[in-house]
Amino acid sequence: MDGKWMMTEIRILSRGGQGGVTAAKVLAYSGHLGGKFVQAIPKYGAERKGAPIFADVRIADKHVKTHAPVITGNTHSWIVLESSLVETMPLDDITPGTIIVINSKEIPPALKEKKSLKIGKVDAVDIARECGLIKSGTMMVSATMLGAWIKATGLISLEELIAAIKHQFGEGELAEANIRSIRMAYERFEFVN
Amino acid sequence: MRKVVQTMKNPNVQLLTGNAAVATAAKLARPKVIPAYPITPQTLIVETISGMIARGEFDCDFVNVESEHSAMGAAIGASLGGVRTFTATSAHGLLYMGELVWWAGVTRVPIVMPVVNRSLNPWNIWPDHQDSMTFRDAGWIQFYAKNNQEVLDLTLCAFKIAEHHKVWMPVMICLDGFILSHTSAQVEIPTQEEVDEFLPPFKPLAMLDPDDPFAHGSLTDSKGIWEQRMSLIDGFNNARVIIPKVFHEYYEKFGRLSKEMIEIVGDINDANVAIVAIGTLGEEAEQSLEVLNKRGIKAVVIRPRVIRPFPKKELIAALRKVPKLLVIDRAVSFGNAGQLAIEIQAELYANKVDIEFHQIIRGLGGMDVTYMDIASEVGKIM
Repeated sequence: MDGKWMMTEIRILSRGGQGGVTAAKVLAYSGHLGGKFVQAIPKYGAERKGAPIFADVRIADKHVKTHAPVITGNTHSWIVLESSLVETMPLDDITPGTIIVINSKEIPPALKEKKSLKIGKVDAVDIARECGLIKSGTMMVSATMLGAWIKATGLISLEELIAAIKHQFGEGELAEANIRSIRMAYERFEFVN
Repeated sequence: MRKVVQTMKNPNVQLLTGNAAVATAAKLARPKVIPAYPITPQTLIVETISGMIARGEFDCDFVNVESEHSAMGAAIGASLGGVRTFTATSAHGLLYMGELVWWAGVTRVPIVMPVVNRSLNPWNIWPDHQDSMTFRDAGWIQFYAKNNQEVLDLTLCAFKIAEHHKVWMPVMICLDGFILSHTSAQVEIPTQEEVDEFLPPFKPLAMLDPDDPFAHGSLTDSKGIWEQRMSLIDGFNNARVIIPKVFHEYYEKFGRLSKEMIEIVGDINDANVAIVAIGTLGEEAEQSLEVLNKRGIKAVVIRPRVIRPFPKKELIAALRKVPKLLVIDRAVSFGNAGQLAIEIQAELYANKVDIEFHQIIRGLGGMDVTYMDIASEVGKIM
C-alpha cells in the first residue's frame, strides 16, 4: 500500500447470502495487515437471503473517528456483487473518477451512461463456479470480487489479501478455493472505460 | 506509560467487533458466574463467551437462563454468593429484566453488565440510547463508550470500580448497537498478566453465608428503605472519587483513558463553541472538528464517558470556558427534551454559567448521524 491516501472509503453492495459482510471484514483485515487503521461496518436489518444489503470499509492512515456509514460523495470505490444492485446506487451523487467494480458479464445500461466513473467488470459467478464456491445453490463471489478490486485499485497487495483470507477461513480447502478465485479475478478484471 | 503502536508489529492489536471486545474484556476479568440470555444486537457477546467457556478457555459457570429477568436474578444471587459476576443485555431484554435491574441497583450488588444500546420501538433493532437512558435512575453507574477500544477499556475498569468497597455498586457499560457491536475495528488487548495486576480477585464485602444467615433486599419498613437510599447516594458520592482514580490507574498501566470522567478534544481555551455528546456521537463530533476548522469555526468536543454519577463539576468547569454550547442527545425524555440536555441545563442554571445553550436530538432508531451532519448543525448556531 502506498502512503498517499488519508482515508479510503469503500462500499460493498451485495445480496444477503453472497458474502458481502464477510468481504468487508476480509478487506478491513487486509488493511490491518498492511499497518493501516480500518473499520468494517455492516448495515444490518435486511439480513435475509437475497435482500439488497451493503457494508462499508474504511482504510486510513490515522485512527478513524467517524462511525457513520460512508458518505456517497466521499467514496473511493464500490464493489457490486450482483449487477441489478446498480439500480440502488445514487449514481448522480457519486464523485467523478470513483471506481466501480462490478460482477457482471456486461456493464448494466444505467452504468454505461456514467462516463465520469471508472467502471470495470469481472464475471465472478463464472469464476466462483469454476472454483467450486457454491453454498446452498448460491455462488459465493465476495472473495473473488476482492481480487478484482485490488487489481482495479492497487491499494492492497495480493499477499495481504490472501493472508486475510487465510485468517478468515483458516488453512484448508475453502481458503484455497477462495484464493484461487481471487487470483483468477485479478487476472480477468478489466476496466471498460 | 506505554505508547500504543497500532500495527501488526504489535500482535496484541486485533480487529474486533464491539461485542468481541466486550467478550474479550469479560474473559480477561475472570468472572466466576455469567447468567445471560441472547438479544440482538448483544447476542454475539453471549455466544462468544459461551464458546470460550465450552472450549475450556475460560473458567466460569455459564448459566443458561430462560429469560433476562432470570438472568439478572441469577446474577444477583451469584454476586451475593461472593463471586465476580457478569451479564449482558440490550433494549427489550433490559426492560424485561427491569425489576431486578432496580433490585441490583438500590441494594448495591456489584454486577458488571454491558448494555448494547438499541431503540425501544416495537419492533426495531437499530441503535439509540433510549434503553439505557430509561435506567439512568436505577442506581447503576453508567459508562458510554466511543469506540471498540474504549468498550474493552471501560469494561475492565467497570469491574474494579463496581467491586471497590467504597463503591460496591453495579455498572452498565453502554455501547451503541451495530455502530460498535457489529463494526470491526482495531483494539489493543492487554495480556492476562497485565489485567491480573490491574484487577485483583473479587473480595466480598457482604456475602450470603448459610452458617451466618442474613436477609438481603427483603421487606423492610420505610426507615429501612430510607437508609438504603441514603446509602446509595453515598455510594454515588464515593464513586465520583473512585472512578477517576481507577481510570487514572488504567491510564498509567495501559496508556488509555484519563483520570477525567469527561473527555475534552480540541482547544477549549480558544473555542467558540462546544459540542456535548456521548457514545459514538462524541467521536463522530471529534471528526467534525476538522471540517468546522476549515469553515473558520473553532469547536471543542466535551464527551462525558460517565453519565451516572453525573460529572457535574467537570462539565461546568469546562463549559465556563466556552461562549456557546450544542448538546446532541440520542434519546428523549418524552414530554420534556433529551436527557443530557435537561441535566446540563439544570447545572448551567445552578452554577450561573453564562452560555448560549442549544440542543438537538439526532440518531433515534438508528438514523445515521455523520460528522458532516454535526458540522452543519454547529454551523447553524454560529
